[in-house]
Amino acid sequence: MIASTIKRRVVDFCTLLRANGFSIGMSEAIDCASALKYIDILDREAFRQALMCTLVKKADQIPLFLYLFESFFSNPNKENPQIPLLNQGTTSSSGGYTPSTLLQRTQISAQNWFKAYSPNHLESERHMALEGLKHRYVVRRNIRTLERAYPKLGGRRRRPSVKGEVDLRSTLRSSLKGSGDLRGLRRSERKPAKNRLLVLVDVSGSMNSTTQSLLELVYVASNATHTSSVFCFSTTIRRMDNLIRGKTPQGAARVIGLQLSIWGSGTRIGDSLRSLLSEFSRLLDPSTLVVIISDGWDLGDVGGLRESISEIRARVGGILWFNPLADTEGYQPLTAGISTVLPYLDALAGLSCLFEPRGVRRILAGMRASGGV
Amino acid sequence: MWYVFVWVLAVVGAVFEVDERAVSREMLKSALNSVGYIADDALITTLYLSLRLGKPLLLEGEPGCGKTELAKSLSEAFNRELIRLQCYEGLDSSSAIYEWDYLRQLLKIRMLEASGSIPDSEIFSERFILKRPLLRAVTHGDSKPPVLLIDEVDRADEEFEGFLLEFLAEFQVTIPELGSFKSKKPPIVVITSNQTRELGDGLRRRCLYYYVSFPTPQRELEILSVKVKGLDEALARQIVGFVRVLREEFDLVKKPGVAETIDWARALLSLDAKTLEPQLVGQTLSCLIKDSSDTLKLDGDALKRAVENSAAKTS
Ligand SMILES: Nc1ncnc2c1ncn2[C@@H]1O[C@H](COP(=O)(O)OP(=O)(O)O)[C@@H](O)[C@H]1O
Ligand SMILES: [Mg+2]
Repeated sequence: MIASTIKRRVVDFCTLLRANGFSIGMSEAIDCASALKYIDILDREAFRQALMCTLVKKADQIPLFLYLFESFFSNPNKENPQIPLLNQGTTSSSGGYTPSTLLQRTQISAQNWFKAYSPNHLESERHMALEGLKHRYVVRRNIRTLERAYPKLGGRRRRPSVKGEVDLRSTLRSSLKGSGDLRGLRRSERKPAKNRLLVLVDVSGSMNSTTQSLLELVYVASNATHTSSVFCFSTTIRRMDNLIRGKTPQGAARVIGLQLSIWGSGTRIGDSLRSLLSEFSRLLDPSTLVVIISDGWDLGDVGGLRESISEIRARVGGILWFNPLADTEGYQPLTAGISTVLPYLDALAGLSCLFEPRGVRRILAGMRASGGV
Repeated sequence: MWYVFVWVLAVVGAVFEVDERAVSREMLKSALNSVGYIADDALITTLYLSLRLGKPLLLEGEPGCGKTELAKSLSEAFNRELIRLQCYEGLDSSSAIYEWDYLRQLLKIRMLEASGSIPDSEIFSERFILKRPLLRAVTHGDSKPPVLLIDEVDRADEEFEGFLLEFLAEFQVTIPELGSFKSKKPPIVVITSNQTRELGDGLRRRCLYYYVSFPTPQRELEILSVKVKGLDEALARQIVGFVRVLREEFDLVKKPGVAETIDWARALLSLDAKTLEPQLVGQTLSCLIKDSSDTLKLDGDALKRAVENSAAKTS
């Protein structure tokens, strides 16, 4: 079981390396597979070295390799921020780091390591349960904040306001209510419209470590507002909100459990976005704010991804991306998936923002300060 | 007493006479340690895989950090012949692979002429070939394949890299007049490069790759304790600390490698030094600094600061 799982993971990893500019041909892949026969694959150091000496052939590729390796073969969650920090290298060599200093910095406990190996491993552990969620309230607040994140368009409705423009209709009505003479000008302003939220949650294997939080998020986002639509995607995309809206947490968990087939597989963000475009195109308009929650490990082709994200960008009001990897200090959007979409995003933030009180507000304030929104 | 001796012999024998393609990583490590080579685990793993897969090992990295030494130690540890091909600009196949021994051929022709027979195929036989390293590596005829060290391959030109590629693909040398030479067991190949030139992708493809960087202080201390006998532990720590400061905090053209650390430690030992003092360091600095522009970067004040700095770090 282990052997075949690992083989699959290694093949995926090679794909990832290729997507990031490593030239890995047949001979490298074969060397790598044969090398794995001679080492104990539960020995993480040896495993990494076996991959490294067969797949990396240039010194300057080593840091990126280590970065990708650590991210791909570990649980990228807050408790274990072991992703090597590219921007904190010692100043010992001209490049700002030496491969060996990076090597020393990337120690991961054997236990986590094994967990990260197998995409199936967590399947048995995954409790499709939503009870006892401390943060549900916080998440709901954050979602509501997102709804009003882009007050570009005023709504049709108005509300009284001291600073707003003079509201003749309201002034007239109030004067008629009294004696008929003008008592003072009434002012009002347009109520900011809510954005229609489109929440896309990545439930592929690489997101396993955050499963519990994602479930929570899917549930809350579906129920917090009635204008939001929630999708889960991995290799395909599935609409969730209409299935779980109004259900109890237990009921929702059962429904989500039934959709398990798309949990834990590989990711093809590009394909998923494409089917979003073709099947749910009416959901995309300038008042829509797209919220993507994904680590950006994409195994599909980068060209397709760029095409769909740019088309979505052209049609919606904004795109925010929450990445669990970005919670790690020193994170850099280097993987092919993330660096492709980056130019189309209004912001890239850590996933934890959604689970912290005022997390979203902080992000938005940051964006306003830097001239966004 | 004698059976302890026999037992030791048996263990030593087991290490040295074993097929190098069947050793474990632990054995490899202890075998290299026994001949005074201290290697990181990552290097051991890479070397082990290269032996197992029968692929050449390409070592790239800072000069003086033990690339060449690894091949030497390997041949010593496994009791193999070391065949070394030192690369240089203009290295061609006649100095790398083989050459006809024209002088002896000429003599033979003279002799044959004198005896009245016609010189024919006889003079194109193996006897008249000067075997250069690559040919020697495939005609060892021994059951124990040699270690072939192709040193500083970045100095040779790209054309030579082409030859090498062909050689590494088959471990075979073809001489038009004589046919192909190929050994039953391919040699253990170690290729080193100091990165003065980017190597071609073809060569990289053929090899397992390892980047040799400066050792960690721990590792460097170990190396010193093996290589410089009788060095005081505390002084060794100071030495390693100071060299580290030089490597990390000064923008040197040529950073001191392990070889320089060892030289310096030996010099200090022979001067009977007890601790590092700026004056003493200044006098012996030529062991560490080999570039004249680097010497300027380490004038009186900077040197003093560096010594203090490293003292603060090691304490
Ligand atoms: N890991 C090591 N273990 C033992 N000695 C080492 C080690 N690394 C370097 N040395 C010492 O450094 C010297 C220079 O190493 P060398 O192999 O010639 O460097 P390079 O070929 O990398 O330029 C060697 O003679 C050896 O004594
Ligand atoms: Mg050398």
